Amino acid sequence: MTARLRWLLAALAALLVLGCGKPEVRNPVQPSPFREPTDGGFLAGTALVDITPPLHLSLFGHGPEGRVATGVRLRLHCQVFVVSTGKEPIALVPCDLQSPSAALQRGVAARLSYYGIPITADRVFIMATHTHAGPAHYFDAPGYSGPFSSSIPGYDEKVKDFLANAVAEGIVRAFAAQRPACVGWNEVNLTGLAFNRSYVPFLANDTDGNYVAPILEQAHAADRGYGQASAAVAPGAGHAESSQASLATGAERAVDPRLFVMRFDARAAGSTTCDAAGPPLGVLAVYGVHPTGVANTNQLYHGDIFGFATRVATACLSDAKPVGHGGALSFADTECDATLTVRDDNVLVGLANGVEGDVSPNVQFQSVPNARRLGRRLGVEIARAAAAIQTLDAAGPFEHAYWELWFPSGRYDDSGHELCEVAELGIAAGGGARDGPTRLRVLDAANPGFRLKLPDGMKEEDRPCQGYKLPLRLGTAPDPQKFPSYGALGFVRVGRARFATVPAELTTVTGLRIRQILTSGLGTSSIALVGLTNQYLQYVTTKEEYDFQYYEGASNLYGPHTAEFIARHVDCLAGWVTRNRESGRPAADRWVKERCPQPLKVNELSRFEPHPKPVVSRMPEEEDLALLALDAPEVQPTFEDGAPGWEMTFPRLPITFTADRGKYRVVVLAGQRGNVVEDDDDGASIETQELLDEQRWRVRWAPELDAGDDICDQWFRLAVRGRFELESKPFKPDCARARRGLP
Amino acid sequence: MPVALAPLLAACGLQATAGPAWVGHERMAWQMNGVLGTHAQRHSGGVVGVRVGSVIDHGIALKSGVLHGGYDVLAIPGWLIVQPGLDVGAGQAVRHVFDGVGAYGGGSLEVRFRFWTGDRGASYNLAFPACDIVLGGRGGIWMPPEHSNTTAVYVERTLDLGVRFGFGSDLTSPSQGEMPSRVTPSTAPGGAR
Repeated sequence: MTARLRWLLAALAALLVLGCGKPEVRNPVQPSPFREPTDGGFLAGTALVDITPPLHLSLFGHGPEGRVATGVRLRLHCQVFVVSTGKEPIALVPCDLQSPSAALQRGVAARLSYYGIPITADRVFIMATHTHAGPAHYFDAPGYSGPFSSSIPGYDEKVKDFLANAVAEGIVRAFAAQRPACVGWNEVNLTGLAFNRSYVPFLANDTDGNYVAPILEQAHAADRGYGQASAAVAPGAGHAESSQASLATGAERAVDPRLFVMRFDARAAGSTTCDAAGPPLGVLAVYGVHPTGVANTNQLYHGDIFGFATRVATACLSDAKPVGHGGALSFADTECDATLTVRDDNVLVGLANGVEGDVSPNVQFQSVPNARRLGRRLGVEIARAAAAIQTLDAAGPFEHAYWELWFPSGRYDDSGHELCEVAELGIAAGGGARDGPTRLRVLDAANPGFRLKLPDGMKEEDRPCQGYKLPLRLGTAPDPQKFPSYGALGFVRVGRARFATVPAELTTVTGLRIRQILTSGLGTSSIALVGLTNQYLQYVTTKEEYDFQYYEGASNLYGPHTAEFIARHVDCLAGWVTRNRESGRPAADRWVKERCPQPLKVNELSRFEPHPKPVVSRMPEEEDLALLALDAPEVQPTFEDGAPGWEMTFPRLPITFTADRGKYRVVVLAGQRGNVVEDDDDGASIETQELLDEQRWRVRWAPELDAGDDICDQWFRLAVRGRFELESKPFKPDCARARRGLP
Repeated sequence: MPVALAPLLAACGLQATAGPAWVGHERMAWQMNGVLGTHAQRHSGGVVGVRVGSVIDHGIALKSGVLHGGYDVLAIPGWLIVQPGLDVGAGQAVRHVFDGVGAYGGGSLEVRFRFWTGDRGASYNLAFPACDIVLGGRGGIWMPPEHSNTTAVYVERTLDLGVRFGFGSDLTSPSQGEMPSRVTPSTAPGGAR
């Protein structure tokens, strides 16, 4: 063998070794130059992404009480909004997930880099809606993949990849679909939809500030007036807004009622006219409430209240008409009842969660009909707020800031005080929240308020770092890598629209205090505070709330001063944004370096070191089941979960089918000709579920009877479309019987 | 699963020790003990257990079974435990000094150094392990049975060194926390404002 040949073979071997060692997303390429033609105005692109995974993944959000998914109620979506002014685009992505994870954000960014899309991780804002009926298994932090995190815990790279691929693909589509746009912004108050579930700690807050004091006063006034107002309002006097307001309890007042809406309308290139011409391109709303309208016994994927709300708002706006000159739109409320298949060419409505840490949905009991009712109201209000926007801007300020903060031992003041070194949950968190209690509540210690017994008169500086928290542990000493160590604050401004993002769930007063800081730093209070973005650090409460050790305080990972830590850095970020705008980045960086506790790394990324544990394989492989031709099944009436419905069963299909709309979807056909009147993704509540014996599937249609009484006089068929085609025998809903709750 | 078993296994440990033993005026023998017993968690308290004694002599020969009762004093909580105790048992002394199954009564003092545990400091731990180094001494008397070859009473003294593997759970331990008296909106701090 000649020397030259040996060298050649060695080089080939080296290439082979390097090739084998490449990560799954190979050859990340440098972003190609952004060549989108621009007129200096706003560009916006939208895309709808279906992230419904296959069945048999654990549902995440209710800890060990969460079930394993055996079906689908509403398909899980991400709504992607890519916005830019011709350079440095950002992606705002509300998703039907319980929470984001760093692994997901970084996974999406890696794919975008591979595709050559110039949106880096600091420009990807994955905002979880916080549905508790989305999948688990994509969290790199062991605390969210380990014991008690879900019913069958574990991290599965394939689940993370499935979600990351879907989100990245959506961003690519939205990026490619960018077009000149006008941007409008609105803010309205929406009351009666939610209540403060940890009202006692809420009342313990100091009445500091311009934002906190009025809400506390309102709550107290409502408590004082509640009995009198109840007596004063005659039965059936009803639903007038004033009556409702006077009947609101203190707990209903003790929430941040703000609903924020950003609206994108298409415009002609080069035009600065923003008069409405038809339905908008998209709407991104922010409202704070736990989407826990359905109880933790649920086994189906769905977006809960937010899933219903976005579909209703989409239906409302899809046929909206301009009103005179300006941006205002109008739509008939009946449009909101229309069922409509959610598609990419509809108005895209996304809903991110706001200040919701201690905020629960205002339902008498958790059920699908109640979640749908609340979602309907929220959806209609989103559509109204979007339609009411008079002024949209073709161009304006476009700002972005992103700051990854290190939480362990993070300094939160100038005196050198630090957060706890290790994140821990309190025992009171083990019992779950009020709208998702766990079996551990049989223990007195796992109930709200149970806390560490500290000697009377113990000075604050002598207390353990976690203060009154009695840490909940299993096994060995706390693992510093169990929960995330860093989380990012973010700020986005698009014209009048402003979003501040945090990687956690803020309680009402924490949110109000942060808003106060933002207001003084940025000169406006109209800022949507979005929680659960890009990382999940559980709850952040005020110090006063923390000391009560209710569920939220016990879930405040880094100790009683976490809110101060976040507030301090939000203040820094607001200062950086202002100075960056006024004096440029060097001056802004200098200002923050002098004033802020952590080294400044705005718009830079921390080193990402995932430690998932345990690693499992839950993502089902494609199955090869024989799909038999079947006789048309009978449809039977049922009454479940407070709602009548009609169902058919048939032999089971591959459980991966639910992840692909090309392979599986369910529709309702009406009349002789079999027109499709409803689709399993339009919010009409068509549920697919694998039955207990795992040998059959069930399809159940549970329409709202009061919304479409004409269904009572028609013949229908349930049908499966895709790789497997099946139609039921015709049936006619017996509405009178169904309304009486009889199957 | 560990949590389901926690109440059953909580505050139990398995201990193995070995050391020299002397019976009467007989020469020293090497003995080994296995103990299954409870231990105190969080606060000092009474403990019970059973001990099986054996002698190491060309193999291990079981010699005695003893019921043990004691009191764990948490000298340095989480680190050091001192346990005085009493023993009542039956069997043979480590040296063959009488025939038949005799009776034993005595006392013990044990010091345990907890060199590893998953549970130091205040917490509510659902299930945690603990490993101790055990240093102890025992003294007692053996009484031969009727019709034995002797009627003499024999004093037995031992020194023990070994390890203990323990398991604990706060599901069954005295709580380190409290549920403050129920607060309502009107009694909550700030409620009077």
